Amino acid sequence: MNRWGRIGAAVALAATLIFSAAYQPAAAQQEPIRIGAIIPLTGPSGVSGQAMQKGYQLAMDEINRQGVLGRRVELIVEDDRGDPPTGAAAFLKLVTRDRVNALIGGLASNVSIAVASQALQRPILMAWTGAASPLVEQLLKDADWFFHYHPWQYNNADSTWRFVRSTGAKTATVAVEDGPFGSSAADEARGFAKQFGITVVSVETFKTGSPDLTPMLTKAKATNADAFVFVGFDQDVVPLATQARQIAFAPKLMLAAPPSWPVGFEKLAAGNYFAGMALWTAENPSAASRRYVQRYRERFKEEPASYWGPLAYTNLITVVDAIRRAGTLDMDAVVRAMKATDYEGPIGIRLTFKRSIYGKNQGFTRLIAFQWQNGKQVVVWPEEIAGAKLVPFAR
Amino acid sequence: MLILGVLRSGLYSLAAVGLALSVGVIGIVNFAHGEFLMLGAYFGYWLYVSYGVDPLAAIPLGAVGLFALGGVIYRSAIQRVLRAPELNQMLLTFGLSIFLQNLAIILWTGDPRVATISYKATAVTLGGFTIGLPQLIVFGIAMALTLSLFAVLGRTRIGKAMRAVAQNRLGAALVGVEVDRVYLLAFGLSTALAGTAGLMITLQLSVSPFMGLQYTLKAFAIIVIAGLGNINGVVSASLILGLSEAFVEFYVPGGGGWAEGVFFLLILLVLVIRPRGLFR
Amino acid sequence: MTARAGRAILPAVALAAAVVFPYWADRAQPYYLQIAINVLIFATLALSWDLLARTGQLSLAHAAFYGLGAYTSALLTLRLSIPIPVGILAGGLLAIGAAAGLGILTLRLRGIYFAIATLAFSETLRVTTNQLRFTGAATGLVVPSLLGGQRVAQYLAILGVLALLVLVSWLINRSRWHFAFTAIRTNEEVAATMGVDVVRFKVLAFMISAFFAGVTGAYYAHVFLFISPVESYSLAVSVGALVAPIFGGLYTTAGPLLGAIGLRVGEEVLRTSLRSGYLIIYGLILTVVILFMPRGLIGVYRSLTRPGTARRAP
Repeated sequence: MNRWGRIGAAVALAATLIFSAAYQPAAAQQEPIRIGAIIPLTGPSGVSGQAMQKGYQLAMDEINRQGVLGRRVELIVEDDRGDPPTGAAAFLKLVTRDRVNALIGGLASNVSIAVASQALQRPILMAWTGAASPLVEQLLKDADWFFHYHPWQYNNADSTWRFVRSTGAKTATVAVEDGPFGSSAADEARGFAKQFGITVVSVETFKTGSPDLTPMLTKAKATNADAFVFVGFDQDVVPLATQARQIAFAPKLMLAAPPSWPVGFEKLAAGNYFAGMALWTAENPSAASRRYVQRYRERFKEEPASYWGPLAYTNLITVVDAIRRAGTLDMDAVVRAMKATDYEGPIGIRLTFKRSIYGKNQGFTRLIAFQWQNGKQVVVWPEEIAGAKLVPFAR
Repeated sequence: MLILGVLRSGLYSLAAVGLALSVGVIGIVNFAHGEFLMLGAYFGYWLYVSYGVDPLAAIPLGAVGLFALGGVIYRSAIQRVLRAPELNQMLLTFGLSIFLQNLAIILWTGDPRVATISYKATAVTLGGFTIGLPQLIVFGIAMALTLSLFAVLGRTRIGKAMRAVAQNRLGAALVGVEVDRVYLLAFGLSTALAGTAGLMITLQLSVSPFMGLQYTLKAFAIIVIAGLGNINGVVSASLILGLSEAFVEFYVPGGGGWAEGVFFLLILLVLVIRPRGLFR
Repeated sequence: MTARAGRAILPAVALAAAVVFPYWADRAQPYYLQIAINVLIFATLALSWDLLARTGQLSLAHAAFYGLGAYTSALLTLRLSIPIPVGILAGGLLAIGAAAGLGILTLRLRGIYFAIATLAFSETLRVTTNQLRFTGAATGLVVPSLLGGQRVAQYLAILGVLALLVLVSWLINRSRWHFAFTAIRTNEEVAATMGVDVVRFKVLAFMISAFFAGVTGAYYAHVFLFISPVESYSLAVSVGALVAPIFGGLYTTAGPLLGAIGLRVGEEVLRTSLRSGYLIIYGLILTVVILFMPRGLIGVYRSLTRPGTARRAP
């Protein structure tokens, strides 16, 4: 045991030395323009973070073909693990050690708050994709340098209920998971539904990850509402789809809004004619989106799975574009250039920054609705970019 | 709701009975139990997607594979901490669970995946009640496996040896039972059962690298209510869990959020009032 | 005599370095300052967990006290505008109360039974907080910032808490309590017949341990400014609290501290150098440590410095 103990200690020591030797800040040759990104690459939200990283890679391919202000652009990606202390440390590493010129990324609201609290003391251009919680918006209400791309929760709710209204539904039953995602949706459901003339008959809660949603679905079926709105995660939509079919629960509109869908859902017969809300889908008919999907397939030999990829792509491209237009790295100048952003990219909706309820620079404010039609996420709303008509779930 | 609760308990008892075996016979508190279940689920998914093998047909292969993996892990790791303090054993299995989970993330990415088996959404009508076919199958298999495990433990030589070791390790060794081999067998059986439970999840739901913890917690809850090491109590305890969940979810407004809390409160009460479990 | 003087010098130098460190780091390397704060939070949790483990109680309820502290302080400062330091103290005190209750309820439970009972307690609190409106439910709360968000001052605050805890731990391990704790851990019945007041020591250890967990939770809330039931009552908090002592060396004062520093710094180095897959290595290291270094880093250190006494129980 003693011998092993010593060998173990020696190995640990050697490993530490190797790692610390391998870790050297990039040598400054031509002083590239540095951009830092804070995203989760590990942990449960690592899936979305990995998708974002692919979006960055596509953007970097384009950016460094010509360079910016005669310089190369370097992207430094930090994994926040979905953990606020790690996010705060990543921020300080990027800003004080790597001396990045701008900060992009962002997914979870809790990490965003930890990062934002640091940024308030060390302002930097923060072009932020994630964090839908208005708590983040309120915290950064005076920050002129904070640009937010993803719609806020109330934007999501607004789009969702606008879409439900467009299908002609008069009544709805809502089912939410019992975490932060579901509870905020539940808070907003009644108010927004009412605004669009829809009565929410009942709000049910379920435990995310539960293998059996039948009790909840049985209750929902009994309400006989026109629409069923389901706010849960990717793991929950499989029991939702299969068990709803089993008990023959078939409202006119079956709407589920998970942040992403499980791989293989497209082949699940029970999932056909489910509607969903997203910022973007691969079936988005806009020209820029098609180009993006094409290049994504060539580069990664797979289908783009979630909207986080094109959102991250848009994020990086627009920041670099603002630096290019500003002609300098001076923060105030870049912030002014960012405010003047007018970009039509893969998301398929024009990106400009406007004031939101609390925040100064809000990008996207609207989701689109799609429907699973024979394995494809076909856009069905809003009409101007719809690829097909919504098929009623119940027939 | 009664039927739903009973059906659900099948999966739970299958997930828990392996853990009960490992805790009961070897005295190892295996926090990586859910990760073995996850591996089984991925095995089923892989067989289905690559070769179109139905998870039901994959049970023998999956059980043997997980049994072998369990054996290897027992020999290389568990065996070494048998005499170590309980804490070290717990931490070892924690480390194992982190390792397996992240291995799965690297092998299959963190995306949840669904095997689109044709009868996944099929229902059958039995005596006026509509019941999901996969749930019914899973329940049937879980019961069959649990009951045959009882039979093995009760009737066969190796089963008697296991029970003997569970009750008194030294005594069993004195009367000629090869304790180490029994342990190896029990641990392999425990991971094989977890793997089978995983295959059943592939059949019924989706698979993801993060699915393990949830089932580890449920399995712990069940074996605590049954009484640690009391394998016979697992079915009854699973029933309590399944039924209490189904009833709270259905009859309490906004019940889904409370279901888990009710159950953990129940565990706390059981432990405080009857520390050796309900069925002892 | 010289050995004893040498022993006193090391902690004194460490403390002096720890006090001076933030003034340098804040100007030169603010990133290190943040890492140091993260390490100190982790170390406080770890050492407070170890105090309880010394009586043989393997708690998975550290998240419960951590969460209680965080929520108590957050709600008091948000809803009643109570000064933050008072809120943090109140968080610790409430945790003491909860620990006394839970400690008495679970007195009869040993080992894994105790662990699962404490886990159940923690999960019950999480679900309850998740459902209640006035705690911000599942959405969580944004919390005011401690000491105006100045990192140096925040660092010194948690360093102070940890120093107090180290003092408590050191005093316990030097006093008669040490023998009482060890006796209870080894065999409760024998301890009782030897005249050790088992109930009193077990509950007291629980209360002291919970106080520091509560204070740490409250501190975390006011430094990272956001709490939610899934995070504050997370099993990861409880597991983190027990991983460090085992890694560093159980039932000692230095072990949990070393473990916390080693794990957090190692994790950060792996994270920034490997990008992905580093958790595999983390899990592997943990497994290897348990298998080959059952007494943790401290055990290795002892076997290297004093080979003859290595096999003595710690």
